[in-house]
Parts: sequence; structure tokens; C-alpha cells
Amino acid sequence: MSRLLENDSLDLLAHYRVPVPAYGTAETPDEAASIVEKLGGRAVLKALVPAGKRGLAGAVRFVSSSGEAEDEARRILGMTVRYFPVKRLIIMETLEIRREFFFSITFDPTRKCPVVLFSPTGGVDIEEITAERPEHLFELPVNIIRGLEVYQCTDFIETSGVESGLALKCARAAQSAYQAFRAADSRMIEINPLAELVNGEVIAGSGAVILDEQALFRQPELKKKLGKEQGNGWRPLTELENCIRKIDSIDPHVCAIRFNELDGDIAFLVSGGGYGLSSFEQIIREGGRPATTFDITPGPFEEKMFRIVKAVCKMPGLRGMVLSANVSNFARVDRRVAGIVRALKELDIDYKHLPVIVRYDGPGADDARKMMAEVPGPEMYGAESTLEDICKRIVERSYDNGVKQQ
Amino acid sequence: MSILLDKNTRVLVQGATGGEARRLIPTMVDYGTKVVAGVSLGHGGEEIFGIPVYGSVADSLRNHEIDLSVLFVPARFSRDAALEAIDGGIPVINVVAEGVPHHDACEIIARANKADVMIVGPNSQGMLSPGQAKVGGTGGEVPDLMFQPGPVGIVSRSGGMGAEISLALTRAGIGQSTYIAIGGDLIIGATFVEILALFEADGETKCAVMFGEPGTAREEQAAEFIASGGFSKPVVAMIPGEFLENRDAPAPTSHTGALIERGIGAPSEKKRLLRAAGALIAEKFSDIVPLVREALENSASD
Repeated sequence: MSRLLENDSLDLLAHYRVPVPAYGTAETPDEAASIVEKLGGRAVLKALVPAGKRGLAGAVRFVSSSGEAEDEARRILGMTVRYFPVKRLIIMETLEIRREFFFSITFDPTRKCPVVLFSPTGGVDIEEITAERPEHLFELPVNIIRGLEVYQCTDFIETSGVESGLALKCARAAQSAYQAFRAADSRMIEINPLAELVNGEVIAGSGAVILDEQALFRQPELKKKLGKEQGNGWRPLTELENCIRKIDSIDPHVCAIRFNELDGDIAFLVSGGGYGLSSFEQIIREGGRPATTFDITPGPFEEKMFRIVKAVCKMPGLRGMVLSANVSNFARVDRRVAGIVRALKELDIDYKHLPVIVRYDGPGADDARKMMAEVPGPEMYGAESTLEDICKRIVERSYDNGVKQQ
Repeated sequence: MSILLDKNTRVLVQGATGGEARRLIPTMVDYGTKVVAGVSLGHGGEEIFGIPVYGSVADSLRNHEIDLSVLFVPARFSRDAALEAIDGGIPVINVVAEGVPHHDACEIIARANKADVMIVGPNSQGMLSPGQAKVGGTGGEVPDLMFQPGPVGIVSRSGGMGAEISLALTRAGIGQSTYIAIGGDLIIGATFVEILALFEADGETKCAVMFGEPGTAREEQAAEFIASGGFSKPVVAMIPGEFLENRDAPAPTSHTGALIERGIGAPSEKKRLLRAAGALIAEKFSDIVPLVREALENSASD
């Protein structure tokens, strides 16, 4: 996933002249204590994990001495926040805040352009504002060709009810954040709170940046910042997910794989954005429990499919495997099936206990059927069947211990 | 009749000398598509499958009249190719690449809107009017197996699912007027509303099938459009993904638009609104054919 950690997010914002607090990062309570000392003995400690809502999880703490910092750092470093074990902390100077605003830039798929979101009610989640006080959320669609000027932001923020002088300071920060949004090919930037300090300055009280994965090819520096700590955006990678990512990196530009491990027991190797989603839902509807999510872009599939099937079949507790893709495309079915068949032959599967259901059609499908027939267990279907047929079939076979045969 | 594309549509292929074009142009031509020219930067003066190739869209327009351009260029070059076609004033542009940066998609669409050009895509598998013409990868190598002429207009956020739906209809003896894959990305040009408006005006189309997905407000807008009378023919809609509501695990889809955000885009809400607007909802794939039969009977009795 492509969520920058908060330190990287703040660096990006600062680079485009959004005022941000002084901060440091620490991996140990000792380091935390010395940073707090440097920051003047008072600071905020936060878990440095790629997830929001850290405050609710108890992973954000104000401390007012280096001793307290050491204790709190030790506690937070032992926590797991939304599946992420805390390995690092970000430690920020405390801010004397007078007023908090919500600020974000994202895409509006309806208007088909970037949109600035601002609320004079800050410090709470966007979901809470949307649900409880939608009239407090103001939207400014941005003409991406013209860009965003400070005067537009000023008018926009004044319209939300913020007094003129303060609105201008917020507008400067907003316009700078938009520069960062554009330059970094961001998917979303959130500054919550955007804070007015008692000394009158406006500063980003926190920063979250999500990058557009489809633009990472032209953001090499930012891409480097997306590492192990991001996991799959939901939780750290499992051993199997790491293994599949290694398989994908054989040749990262052909047949790009997306793969996640879930709690279920049916290996789900069905690709296609809408086709995969529909099949996944149908398996759940039939009472099945998918053990993976999967997608692969078309190309010379053989080697990657071979390695994926071999890796996935090792999942403990697996009761079935379904492999499919929509039947309307130019992806070569024989290349795909060649890899699958090679893996199945090496694995020597007991198909009664691990039924394998396949549905492919398209170029090379006749050869693919012949290849698949060399392995005695799998059932292969083509365009004469529907996705629903094979989803029913895999659920039926998986939870029948293979006793009942067709 | 059909929408956006028929046997007389003069098609330009951009990226004409690349691998994708070499694979797809013959299938398009075989199907009846009138491919009049190609553009490939640095390849002006060449030919591909007997079709003249130009070094720029501007040069192709000096020699041909063009109604539609299909972009067989990689995602990272789609912006440049699309802007070139927009500047040329080509009225319909099909962006097929998957993985176009969202900032680029916004820019393409903003410029297209200004020039009154329709963008279909990015991440669109293409479009096809059965028995007449097709652009993009839709239909694979055997489009006649999947599509036949008839009364059903199909519009889908998923290229694969739109084709699966067409296949099921064709097998049931029900043909299609035109199939448009609008694309699965967060930011796309034409959405359900624009395509439904075209189907409304098309005499051959008697009913429409929509394949929606979680995320964005595209189906919600379609519901509003239908409710307000913008589309008066029967609609059958399938929108999978209700199971994703209140679930934090990663969604099983690569479509960047399929993300429920800020409370917007829940399939249950989309289905509720569409149902309220009079659409027939297919909860599962096998519901589609019987509901289309019902819709066609309704439209015949009107």
C-alpha cells in the first residue's frame, strides 16, 4: 500500500512550505527520552505505523518529562495498532493550540477533479464530520489545469466562517499542501488538525499522505519510502505474502500480481477487477471462505503461475482451490495453464482433500484443456459455464471432503 | 443502430505500431471496424496491416476524417496521447490502459470537457457494437461467440464482467445494441449517466444492463438520472461487493475506484437507490438473464 508514514508525510509537506512541528523518530525508550529533552522536555509520542486513528488506540501520548517519555515510549513500543506492531515512534513538539480545523485534499470521482475539504470543526475524524455535521464540511473542487491559487483558498475558507486574517494563513498552508499533492502524485493528503496556535501561527498538527500507486513509476524517491512497514496497507505482510511478492519481483513489469492472505480455506486465484470481486462474493454467498485475494495482469504467465500455485498450496488448512479469469480477453490460456499444470504435477495433490476447480477460455484454450487432462484431479471448465457455476462447485467440493464426486 | 460506434465510424489507432495494436488491429478490422489510420510517434510514413501510419494526430487529421480514437499506448504515455487527440478535436477517445495516474486522468478529462470531447476510460476494455465494429480488447479473439446484435445496451465498470454478461445474454438468445466498458478506475471520463443518455436516444436499445461496483457515486448518479426521467427504458443492474461494507480487510479487486470512502459508495445504498428508481436488481450473476427477459417484456408492453 501507498500510505507514507507520518515523518515522511511531514517532510513532504514541509518541502512545499506547509509549516510543520519539530519532530524526531525513535526506536527505543532511550532515544525517545533524548528527543523529548531536545524538544524542551515536553512532547507528543505517537506510534509510527501506516494507519490512522492512533489516538483511539491509545498510541498517542503527551509527556512532560524525559522520564515520562521513557515509560510511555516503552509502553507504546510494545503495542500493536490496527495489526501493526509498533517498531518506531514519532515524537513531536507540543503545540499551544487555540483552534483546530480539518483539512484534506483528495479526488472527487463525481466531479472528476481534485477537491479540497475544509471544516472549521477540526480534531475529529472526517467520518464523524460527514455523519454528524455535514454542514460543517466545505468542498472546493479544483480545476487541475488552472491549479489552485491562494486567493481561491482564502475566499473558500472565509466562506466556511473563519475570520479574514486567520483564513489567509490557512489559505497559504492549503495552497502549499496542494503543491505537495500535485508534485507527489498524491491520492490523498490529510492535515488534521490544521491548527491555529496561541501565537497566531497556522501549522499542520499532523500529516497523512497516501500516494497514487499508479503514479509511483515517476516518483522514485517517494517509492523508496514505501517499504516493509506499510505491509499491505491493512496489516504487515505474512510469510506467504512476502513469498508471493518475491515471485512477483522476478519480473515486476510483466504479469503484476496482487495477493493477500485471509482467514479462509479456499485458495482464491481468480483474476479480473470486476470478475474477481463478483466471484469472491459468490463464494461467500455459497457459504465458502476465501483464503486469499488475487489478481494478475495479462502477459507471459507461465513461470509466475507455476510459483504462485506451488506457494499457495502450502497454506495450512486449505480445503480447495479455484483458478479463473473472465473469458473475454486476449490473455493466453495455454501459457497460464502450463504453469498451473507444472505446479500441480510437482505437488502431487490429493484432490479428494484439495479439490481444484478451473475456469478459463480464450486463446489457446484447446491446448490448455489437453494439458490439464494430463493431471487426473482438477475439473476444468470454459465459456460454457459461468462464474457462478464454478463458485458453487468449489464450495460444494471443498466442504464435502471430496467424498462426493461428480 | 448503436451508440458511439458503428460500421461507419472512422477509427484512429494511437500507438499503432506497438505490440497491443499489432495484436488488436486485425481483430478489429476482421470484425468490420473501419480503421482509417494509425498514429505512432516517430513512425510517420509507415504502414501497418495496410493502414497508413502518421507521426502525429495532427498529420492524420490532414489526411482523414476521424470520429473516434482508441489509445493502445502504455499508461505512462496515455496523457500525452489523449491530449493530442483532444487538441485534434476527435469527438470520442477510448483510453484502454490500466494504471494511468489519477492526476493524468483528471487532466485528460478537464481538457476534454473544455473541448466537448468524450473520454471513455481509462482502464476501459473497449467498446463493441455487435455485427458492426469494435475497439479495444473486448470480445477477445471470438467476439461472435459473445456478442450478437439485439436490443440490450450494456455499460460496465468492469470489462471482463460486461463481456461475461453479454456472453450469458447471447447464449440465451438475447442480443446487444452496444457494449461500453467505462473503466474501473477512480477517475474516468464517461460514467453511467452519459452512456445511459446515449442509450435513451438510441432506437434499437430497448433496455440497459449496468454492472456497477463499490466506491464512487456513479450508480447513485445513475439512479438519480433514471428517477428524474433521463432514462425511461427498463434497467437491470448488478453491483457486487455488499460484503465489503464494514469490513477492513483488503478488497478483492484491482479497480482503484472500488473503494468505499467517507461513507460514499456502499453497494447496499446503490442498490437501494436504483431499486427506488425502478431498476431491476440482479443480486447474483444468474439473475441477469431472467431479469433482462422481464425488462424486455416490460418495454414491449409499454
